[in-house]
Amino acid sequence: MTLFLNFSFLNNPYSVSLLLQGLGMTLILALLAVCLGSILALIPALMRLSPIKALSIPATAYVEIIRGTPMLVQVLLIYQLLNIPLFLIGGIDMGSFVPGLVALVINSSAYVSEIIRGGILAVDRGQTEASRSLGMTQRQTMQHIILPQAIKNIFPALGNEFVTIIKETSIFMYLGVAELMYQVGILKASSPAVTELYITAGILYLILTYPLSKLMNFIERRLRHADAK
Amino acid sequence: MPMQSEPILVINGLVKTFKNTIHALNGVDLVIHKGEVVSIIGPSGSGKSTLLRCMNLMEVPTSGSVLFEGHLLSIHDKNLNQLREKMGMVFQSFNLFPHLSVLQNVTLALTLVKKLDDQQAKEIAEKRLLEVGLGDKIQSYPNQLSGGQKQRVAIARALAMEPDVMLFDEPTSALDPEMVGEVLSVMRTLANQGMTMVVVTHEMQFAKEVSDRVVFMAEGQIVEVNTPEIIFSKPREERTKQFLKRINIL
Repeated sequence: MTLFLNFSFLNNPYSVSLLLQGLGMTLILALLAVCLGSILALIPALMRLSPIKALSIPATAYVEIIRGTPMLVQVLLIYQLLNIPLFLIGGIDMGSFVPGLVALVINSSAYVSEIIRGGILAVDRGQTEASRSLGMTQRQTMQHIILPQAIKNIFPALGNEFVTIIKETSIFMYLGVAELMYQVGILKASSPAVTELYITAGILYLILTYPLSKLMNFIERRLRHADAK
Repeated sequence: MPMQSEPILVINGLVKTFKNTIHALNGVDLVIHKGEVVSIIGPSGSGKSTLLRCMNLMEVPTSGSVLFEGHLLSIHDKNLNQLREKMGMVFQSFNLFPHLSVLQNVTLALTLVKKLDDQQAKEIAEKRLLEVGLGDKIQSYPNQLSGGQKQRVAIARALAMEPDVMLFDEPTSALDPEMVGEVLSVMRTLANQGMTMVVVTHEMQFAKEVSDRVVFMAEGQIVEVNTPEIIFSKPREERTKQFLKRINIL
């Protein structure tokens, strides 16, 4: 190991642009995955809360399988199953981007569904009773009483999930999706400063995740205060 | 006392078992008549709250039946929501919706269930909130209110639906002593207006002064049903005597 680190590759516009492109791709993947995953997550979350076993059992199985298997296996399996031929949109190979994103969305939906379920269960039972006693249906109760309150429990945990997903995107280097770690791999081939590249990658991830954690803390405090408005 | 008026709630052979061990209700029969105020008293764990909560199927009985205005209540019945709309319920812990303003707490079910437009709902809500003395609090949020104010909003919210019967589940038990009076006074007014009321309560003075009949329960059964005069001065049953002696009424 060299004692003196050499970050001279940061003076090379080509390397910097590759890294920033990778960072951009990482952010796009994570954003899409969390947004789509959160919407999709509502389905297993509500299914698991249902007293009807035909709904709750498949949803439980879905969540347990996704959470109980490595993301790498899921990603490679979906890549294999979808088997989309190489075609480019905006310079991005959809043949690897789409299965990668699908895998990430599915993975994220399972984790987020547990966050949503927990957030819903944390709402006091008396809220449901008050709502139902006024003649509101189960659906109206969920939509107007439970979910608006559950959001406050869900949002902070969702931020953590976003941070996790940002880090998980590094798995896409296996598919050849040009996210941050993939670009690091390319630069590594032509640079002796491998340690420095990895450190740079770590710092770039941190630049995404740290402000995000702070932002989530801020939003969480605002939500708690919102009740006191 | 409107003994001759028609029954509004008919409870028959009600049994409620929790987790297959505790008998919360052990075969309860009770008829509530239109315009009547019935208080349910008894030691804690006697099943009085469970009985009340079975009346609008917040709690689903293990066996037995509840007839409301001639309709058999069933959790599988699509009309249950329409029937529940006619049975206002007030909870010990208020259960106001914390994310909605006082006004919205009252208007929500009016717009969603009664399908009123926003203006109509607002007018009804303002009228009801004025009646419970909270006309100046309509834009507040529940956590800005005292316990007594919260419970009065909860009462206004239930009344806005124009229920045929009001079910009160220990409405003053979670209140600081100085706030009990304002809630009881609203309930007194309601009783004087002829509202049918079933009240689970520890407020013996209220039960004595406002009720047409008092139900004494112990161990999941009704021990004695009588006029407040008889219950609070010369109860027939030994269990009733013991209970009232213990709380220094007799």
